Amino acid sequence: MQRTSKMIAEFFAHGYRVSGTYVSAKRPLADEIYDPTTNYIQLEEAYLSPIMDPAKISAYYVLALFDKSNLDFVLTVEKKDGLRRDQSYGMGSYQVPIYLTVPFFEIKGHLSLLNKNFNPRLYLGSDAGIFITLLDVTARSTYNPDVSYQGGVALINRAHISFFGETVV
Amino acid sequence: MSRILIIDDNYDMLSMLKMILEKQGKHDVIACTGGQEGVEAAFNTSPEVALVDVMMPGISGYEVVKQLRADPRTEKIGIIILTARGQPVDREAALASGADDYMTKPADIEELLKRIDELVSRDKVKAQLNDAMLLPILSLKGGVGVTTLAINLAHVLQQIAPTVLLDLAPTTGQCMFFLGIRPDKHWGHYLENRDTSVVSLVQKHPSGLQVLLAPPLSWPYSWPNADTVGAILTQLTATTRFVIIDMPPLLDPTAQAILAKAHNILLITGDDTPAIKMTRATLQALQEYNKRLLVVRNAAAPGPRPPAEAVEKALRVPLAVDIAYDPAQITVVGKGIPLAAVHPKTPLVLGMKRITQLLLAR
Repeated sequence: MQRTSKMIAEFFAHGYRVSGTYVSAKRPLADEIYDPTTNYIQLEEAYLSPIMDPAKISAYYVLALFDKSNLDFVLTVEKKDGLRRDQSYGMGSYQVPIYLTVPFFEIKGHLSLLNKNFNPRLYLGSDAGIFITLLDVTARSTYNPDVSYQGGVALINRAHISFFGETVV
Repeated sequence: MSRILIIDDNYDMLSMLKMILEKQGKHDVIACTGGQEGVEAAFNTSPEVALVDVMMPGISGYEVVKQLRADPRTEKIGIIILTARGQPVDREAALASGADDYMTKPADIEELLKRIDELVSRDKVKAQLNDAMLLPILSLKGGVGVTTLAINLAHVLQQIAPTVLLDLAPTTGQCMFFLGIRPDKHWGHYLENRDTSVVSLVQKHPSGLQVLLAPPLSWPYSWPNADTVGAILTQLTATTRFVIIDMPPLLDPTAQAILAKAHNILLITGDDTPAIKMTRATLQALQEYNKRLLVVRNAAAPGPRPPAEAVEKALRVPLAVDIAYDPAQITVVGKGIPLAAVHPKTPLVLGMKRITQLLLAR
């Protein structure tokens, strides 16, 4: 799979939207996000917008750090930009539609699983990393439902999920 | 070919787009890496289309679009927002700021070129209704027939659409002598009283040619600055399709401002060595406008001529049109009639028709 050396992703945390450039030349964004041995992710050219006025650029930083544990979710438009290296070689063939909430957002998408016997409690309680990968995502702003964000992949912080439900296919 | 302004802080993206638009789209590209710099460039160069990135240090792309829409010089240009922020809310914000179109990065190049062409076509249709083509005719060396060509080109264009010939000579223009018109009205009256309508100063020659004369030698007011000429042009372009400018042999800030606004520039050269050398020097000085320059060789006097290939080699640019000496010109100049009005098939008039074809094809 071809990867570009830089990519832009949307980072959501504490009521803010940050559009930032991640240098993916050394490792994919998802590998960095999933890595339990690092606390921060570094961005270049980060543009900050409040969730209530998400198109307004209220601040710009040449370099920015994100505390990964404080992220609600990360969204990439292209699916290839949001997958871990191992996921890029192939994912599960079972698609499970999911609806979940994190602060300021309700998110729809689907999980890609190897096993068709999906147990939400076991899935969320597993120690397979602090983030989960949701595909073909629509994230809707809770306080401004007309505003939605779409992406190929969302990397969602498990610890920030307050509601997690399997939707009817 | 259209003039496209790209404003993007990402140097790699800027270089790539510039190369593609120049090579593939055959456009004349102005590239800026900052929002404020881009706004200034737009004011000074009047591009047909601006491609504007959103996320830039300093002022954002949305603010750039608002500033362009707020200024009469750029309010009508086509604007495409080109951004990595590709969410529906970003599209809405882009269109709400005043952009005509919106594309996400990485943009499909074929699609981008198509949308640029659509905006240019739309603007050309609008331009045919509302705006004029500015066409300065220039030579820094006298005696190569600038005024003769300006008068006859204006007459040829007048047959297509309303045209005004503007004589911008700082000291006594020659159009009044060539056309036999008394300088009762001229742009000096506008310098004297800014409430005067420039259009009311335009005189109509019996041939149908409309001309705004330069003040006579006795007139006390000096050569106008860039803003004043800009105001004169704004009034003229509101009522006509073509404005042909008989330029003085100057490259001062006023002349530079006119050239920056021009859609095309006719640079006139002659057959003698000083004329060719001066044209070569002028081409170097006007390098930034080279895609809008048409070099025309005019034989203003009878006699042997160097081959066109030799002149092109010396100038290092092709001649757009090469006009042979036209003995008919001398027969009409004393009568105050444009040659094009009475001898439509002589070499000089055919040369003007060829220039017209080139201009309309651009």
